[in-house]
Amino acid sequence: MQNQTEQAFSEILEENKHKIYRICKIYAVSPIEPQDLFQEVVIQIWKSLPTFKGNSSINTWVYKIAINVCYTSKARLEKKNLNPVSLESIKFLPAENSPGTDLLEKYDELKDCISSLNTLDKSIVVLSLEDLPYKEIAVITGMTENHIAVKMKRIRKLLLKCITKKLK
Amino acid sequence: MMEEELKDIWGELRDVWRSSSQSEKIELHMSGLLAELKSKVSRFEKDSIKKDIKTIKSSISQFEKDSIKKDITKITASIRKIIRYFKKKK
Repeated sequence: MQNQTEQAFSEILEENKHKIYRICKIYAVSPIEPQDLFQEVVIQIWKSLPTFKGNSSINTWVYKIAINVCYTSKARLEKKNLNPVSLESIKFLPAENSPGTDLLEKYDELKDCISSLNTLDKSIVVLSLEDLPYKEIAVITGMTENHIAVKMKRIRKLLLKCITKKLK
Repeated sequence: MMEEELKDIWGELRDVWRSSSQSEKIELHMSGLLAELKSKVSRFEKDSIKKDIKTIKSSISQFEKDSIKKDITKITASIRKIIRYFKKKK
């Protein structure tokens, strides 16, 4: 049983590490590093896996944990109510094929615009950029699918307005 | 902005978003990580429980102080009422 959990944990983490990291990068505001948030998410996945009931897909479950942990850990780290964890077995190294400067600059602009949104809108837009259907976003955020569609229409406009203004 | 143009920009934003995690390589040394998690998680939980108990204790003592204050105010008010009543009777 323990081995099965460990096997599942390894697979989930390996498969989802990049999406988790993308979310952590959005929620991390200096001095909190995305790597700190990433480690918090890893710990939470490890703690929660034995109680995962399969009511939602693993994909939805991982996103839900990542969003919740990033949000709460950020708040707790800001209040100095949480000591950042240090897991030595996770290493972040510069990628050999890093995206170009142009793409990185555009990402910084996008991050700025997403950061200007409120907490709920931020999580909705992040999940939408991850290409999740409204149905899954609704499960993660606890809202209805229709509500997500309405909100998304407005958020997309806001975001596009912000980004075109920055890129001009 | 035309609908088509909006779609294009949104598509571009998705690409920018997806590539954002490619600037770093995330290496997970799984056997070491599992060992770390097994040893650290229980310690974190213990620490967290200790912290929660401390918070509860401090909130309880504050609650008790507030409650005693309230009781004293009530008792003082009742004694005053009784004194006033007897004064009137005299």
